[in-house]
Amino acid sequence: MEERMDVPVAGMESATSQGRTIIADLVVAKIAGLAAKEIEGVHELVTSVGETIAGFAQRVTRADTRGQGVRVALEDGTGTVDLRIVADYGVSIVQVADAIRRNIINRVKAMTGIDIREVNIEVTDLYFPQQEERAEELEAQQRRVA
Amino acid sequence: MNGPRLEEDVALARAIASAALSVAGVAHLSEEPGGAATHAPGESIRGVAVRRSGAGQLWATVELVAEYRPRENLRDLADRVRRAALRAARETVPGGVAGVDVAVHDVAVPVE
Repeated sequence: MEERMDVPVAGMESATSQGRTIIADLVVAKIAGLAAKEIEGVHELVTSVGETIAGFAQRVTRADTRGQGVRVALEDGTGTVDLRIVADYGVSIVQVADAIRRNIINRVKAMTGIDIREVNIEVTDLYFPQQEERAEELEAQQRRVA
Repeated sequence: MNGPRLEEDVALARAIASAALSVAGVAHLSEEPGGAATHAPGESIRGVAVRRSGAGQLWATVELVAEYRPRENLRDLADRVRRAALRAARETVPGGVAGVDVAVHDVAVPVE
């Protein structure tokens, strides 16, 4: 095996005279996801339509789902991030989206050196704090009926 | 001798793995199926592979999971791992290894 081994992950590569450094896409996706969740007003990230990370994690126990809900495309030292969120009811979605965007750009730059040029945020739903209480009530009622 | 010097590779992989793990900010070495690993009788070192070029030059790969530290640059972490691995290799075999590829596969995030 004379050739350098291919590292079997997609990611950003940089070379030094004594070896390459590879930052995997998943790493950038996780940093971006955490950066988004740090912002007040973000209730959660959405993995696919109608499915929140929490719900997904409950179904697939032990699976690491933190890269889910965030899509990262890296090219030539820069990248694009797409993510979907559920926002808390009552917040300014424009301001929350702006804060998410800036926090992702800052965190990814600080931790990986990668410039994120574009952060696309889709707000798929609003979270009402009463929702959970109501769901619990409904469940309790159903149990009484059953 | 041109035979497969397995024992030397295993000793190198072991030394490099332990050096990488001792770097602050490394959570653990990657254990992804199909990822870098060094296999030997009764032992396997996950996350580290050693290979030889035709000219006998040694080269290592380290695949790791980093701790999530928002203020730390993962490339700097990779450089520290590379330096630690190069040093460990020099202490293990004469001449050490020519280079070390470092892949950050994942970050270990704090449990909420």
